[in-house]
Amino acid sequence: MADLCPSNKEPPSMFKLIRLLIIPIVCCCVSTGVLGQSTSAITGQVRSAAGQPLTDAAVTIQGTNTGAYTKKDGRFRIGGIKPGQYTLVVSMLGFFRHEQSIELGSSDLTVEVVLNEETQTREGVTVTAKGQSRQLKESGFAVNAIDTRRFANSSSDINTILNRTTGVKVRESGGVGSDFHFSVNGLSGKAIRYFIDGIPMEVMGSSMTLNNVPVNLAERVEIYKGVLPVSLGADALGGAVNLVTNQNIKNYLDASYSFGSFNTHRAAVTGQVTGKSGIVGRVSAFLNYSDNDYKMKAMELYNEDKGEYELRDVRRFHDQYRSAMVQGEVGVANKKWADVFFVGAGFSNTDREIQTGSNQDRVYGAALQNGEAFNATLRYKKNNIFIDGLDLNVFASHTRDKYVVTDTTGYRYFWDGSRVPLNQAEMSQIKVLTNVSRPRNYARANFSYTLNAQHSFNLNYTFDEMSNKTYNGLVTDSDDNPGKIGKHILGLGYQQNLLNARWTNTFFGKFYGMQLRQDEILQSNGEYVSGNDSKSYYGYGVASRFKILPDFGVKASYEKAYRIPEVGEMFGNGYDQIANPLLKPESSNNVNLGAYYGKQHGDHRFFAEGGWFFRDAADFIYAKTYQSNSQVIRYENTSKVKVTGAEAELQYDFRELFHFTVNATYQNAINNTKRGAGKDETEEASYRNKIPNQPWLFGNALASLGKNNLLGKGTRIQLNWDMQYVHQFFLTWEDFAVNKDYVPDQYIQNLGLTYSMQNGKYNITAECRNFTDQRAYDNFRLQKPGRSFFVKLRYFIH
Amino acid sequence: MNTLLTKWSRAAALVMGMATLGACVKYDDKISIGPGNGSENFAIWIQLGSWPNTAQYVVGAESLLKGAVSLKGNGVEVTGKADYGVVGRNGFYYYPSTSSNNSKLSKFSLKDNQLSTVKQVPFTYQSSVSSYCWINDTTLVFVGTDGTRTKMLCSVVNTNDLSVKNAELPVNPIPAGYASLAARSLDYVDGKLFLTMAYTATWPDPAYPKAIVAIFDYPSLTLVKQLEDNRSVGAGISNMWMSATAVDNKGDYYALSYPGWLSATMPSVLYKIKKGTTEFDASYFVNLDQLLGGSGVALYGLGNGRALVKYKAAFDDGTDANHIMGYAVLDLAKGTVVRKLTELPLDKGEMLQTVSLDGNNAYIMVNSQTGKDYIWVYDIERDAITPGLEIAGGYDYLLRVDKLK
Repeated sequence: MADLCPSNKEPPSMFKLIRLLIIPIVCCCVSTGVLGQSTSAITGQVRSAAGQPLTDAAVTIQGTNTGAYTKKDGRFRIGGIKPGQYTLVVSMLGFFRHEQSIELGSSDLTVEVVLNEETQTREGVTVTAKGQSRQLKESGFAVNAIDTRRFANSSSDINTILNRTTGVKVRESGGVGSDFHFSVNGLSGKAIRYFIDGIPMEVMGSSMTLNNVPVNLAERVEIYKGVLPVSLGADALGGAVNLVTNQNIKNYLDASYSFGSFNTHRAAVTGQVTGKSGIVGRVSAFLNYSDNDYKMKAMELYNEDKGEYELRDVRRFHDQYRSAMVQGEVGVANKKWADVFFVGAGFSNTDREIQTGSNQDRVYGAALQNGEAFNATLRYKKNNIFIDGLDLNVFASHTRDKYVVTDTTGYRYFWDGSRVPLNQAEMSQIKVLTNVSRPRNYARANFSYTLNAQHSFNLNYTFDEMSNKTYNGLVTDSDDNPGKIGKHILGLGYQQNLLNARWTNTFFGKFYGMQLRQDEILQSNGEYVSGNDSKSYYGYGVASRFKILPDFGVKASYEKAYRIPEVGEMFGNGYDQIANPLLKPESSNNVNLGAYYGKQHGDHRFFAEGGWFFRDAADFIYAKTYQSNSQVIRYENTSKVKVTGAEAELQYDFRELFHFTVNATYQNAINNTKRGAGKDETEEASYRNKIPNQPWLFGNALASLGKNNLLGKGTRIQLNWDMQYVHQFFLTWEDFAVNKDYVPDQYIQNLGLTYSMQNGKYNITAECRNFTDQRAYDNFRLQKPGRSFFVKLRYFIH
Repeated sequence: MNTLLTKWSRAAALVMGMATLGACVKYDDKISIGPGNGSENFAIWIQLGSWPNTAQYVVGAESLLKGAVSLKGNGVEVTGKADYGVVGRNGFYYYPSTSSNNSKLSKFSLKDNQLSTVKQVPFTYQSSVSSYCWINDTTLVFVGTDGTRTKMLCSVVNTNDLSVKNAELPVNPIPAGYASLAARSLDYVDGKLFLTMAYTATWPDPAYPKAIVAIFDYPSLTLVKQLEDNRSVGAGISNMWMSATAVDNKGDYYALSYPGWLSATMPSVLYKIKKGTTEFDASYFVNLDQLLGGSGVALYGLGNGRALVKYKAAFDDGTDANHIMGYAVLDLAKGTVVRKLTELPLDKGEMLQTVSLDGNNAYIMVNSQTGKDYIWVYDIERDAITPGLEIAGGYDYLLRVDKLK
């Protein structure tokens, strides 16, 4: 049981350990990173024919047990080798095996290896990362690895792409920039954490979300389902999304602009330039704008003349959205003291009008949300820092993140734009100018140590400290009672590759520590005390993969996962939310079983994967409001959910001419709360019933047909089609009542035609989304856009 | 090239084929308005599910005396259509969108698990409807406030065609230092409207510390008198949600005051206005906190000079999650407790219409911590309690019970 006391309680010993040991070790390692070099080693880099570094290529010395996998920059190092003649073997899925004779003397030998792909690169549709994504899929973890460069010419954002993959359902409440609900294998909301290159996305500021990041900014997206590697240090109950940006060390520029229906404009640029002095500059930026004035079909409005309600199609009138982000970095690479050293800064800004509440019957005409964030970052990376095989990766940042929700109008709006006075604000009970400020300090140190090709270790420590300052700007200009949370997450993983890497096991343990502080907390007896609390939890898991055949593997993973409470959930706000010192973290037992099979036969390539998943989640935390005139709420552990499901995907390629993917996901999420609040004996009526209001059967199909050099050398023309299917789902509990509201079956289809010139340097795409003009709903009574058109221009050099 | 064209045309055919799938879904776009198909005798409102997957349902019942009712394949889900701030009478429900703010006045009937819309009209004059009373079978009066909560507004509804006449009620101005008006109970007594009300500050500051009853002539809606008493606050309660006033068999008017957040110190009390007068009965003042050992929150007249009072029979932790509510029978004229209904388990903290009167029976719906949930039958003449209709299932909140016919 937690204690809430007015004293300055000493944190438990684990926190001390972290402070005393980990932080100095990190500092020490950074400062002494240039020491400890081996003298007899093979180093080098593996690249594709296109010059891109290849990660996780296996580099072995024939006839020995010695070897290494390449890092993200394609580099590898095999130390402790006696001088002599050897054959170096480099292999990676999707590439031809490479063998090379080498002669090692008394000093280090550096080799550069170029792997040729098994199929030729498609102009305009680069597939060089295929191997990397495929390797992730063939790890023990349940992971969707999506090569987003396949979609680089699409005007979509990341969410749209991820929504087409197995186990994932993104539910948007409207058009561009609208709120969304991201679900992985049935768990969603705060259970899912978001990262960019392993760093929490919140570090970039709350303006940056998956629904506004253009697809061009990421090279690959990884979705970890239920089980997370320790390198993603977070309390993710249900999974994580990790955007991997271009790790290319070559200079490149990817600039794009798209425009289309509803006055929607998107611009994005990402690039890297290396000066003669070796200084590297990188920048990513985007700008999104949309009026989102799409047509709402069959809205109920009153006809004065007829004296009755009628259904009319109306346009949204208060849904303008604008967001902008720029993130820059400058530094050096491949120096003796650092493989990578960058300092960076970023700014992001979002302004949006809010059109509806939780359903389209609640129309807003004046509510706004505006936010902006600044960040400063530092990245350092050094391989073989102390000893051969020990790599260090450090990231630190400071973020200033603010947003304001303006809810001050006091009018009730209707779909025709008319309004009447209301006795409360549009969204809240009282008029509010909600100011939220969340300054954040974040640091991450990751050590990975490869003992040999069979055994490797990963130690990851993250420190995440955030204050939460919230106040109503109409009443005051500061929060005099901010809450503060410090999270320490320490993870240790051990990976073994047995039976010539046919069998891979990863074992890991995680420590979650949190320190919470708030000057004043309101207790249920109405008294105020100061809150100061520390809690710690331990999670653990395993991920395993066994290759039955070279292209056929089975895998299994498990994690005991947590989502630890936020300071506001634990302590309330000292005003109308009372503290709940007994609040437990959300926890879940997550299990995945899966298999994959890949085959190439002549011009035909085929890949299939499937899996079964199980989530047993308990103690979900919700702000519980009550039915009576009670003026206070309290966060409580209210419910338990059990999810079982299965998913499968098939991919087929015929040369670079035709690609087809089809996938399906079924998930059965049931209420596992046996007794309702205040019920000691009776089973809750909905116990073991399917959780309502969420899709439980959905699938996607994607097809593309493309031809190179059809309209001249270096050109490619490609037609893309995709369809999303969502089976009907009930708004409320399925077994209860009759004539229930439901969201009907949906088949939403999109078409795109891309023409590329000069081997993908110049690209133009025309898209039609939802071309059958279906009424689209992710949520009951929250219509999404109908048929819309977009054109995207993209310039890409590398 | 020909091969390529063939492939393209095949792909196009495939696309067209798939596109036809999209044409399968049709939406039945119509507003369903009809005469209604009658109503059950009683209606029970229930909330199902664990937070946040909660939904509200209404289920009809022919009798509350025996048997069991469940929502399994039964009842109608009403979340978003109506909420439990409704008025039921003569087979119909009248719903002025009290808390959903959809700015409509709707007339529903409930039969065969359907809540059918009989008629709906815009209703934007009042922003927050708190109180209602019946003048006769077809005249329903709603009282509430405007958007700024500084005007007391009245709407007189013809329930046959939902035509509405609106007027502002001339209450005394808001005292200095207070922000807004709150309407609570409304009763039609002897040709006059008795409106209990409060002047409130911004939460959590306490309200203007007086129990207030404003008396208006009907139909002129002129203010006869505004009564104030400084020993309590929060006279009446929003009777869209529960009852806190009663007119006894002699025609005397009683109002329960429940301060709640309006005052941290004042007790809940009973006030009386004798038939034919427009003054608090100076000789009558019943401190319910002392009488019952906990605040009275609701009052239902039993017609024989007695009333049921719902009161806090156990410690209240400030939320309504616990089972704290008990019932007692009061002798209104004497201001005494006839007896506490200790046969009843303590009810969850619902501050809602959990009592319905039908002739000699008072039906009391209790959400129990242990054992089954029943609508208990209180025989007024015999002063006896028996379990009636079982609400089988295990529901989070039992919201209201209404006699519709």
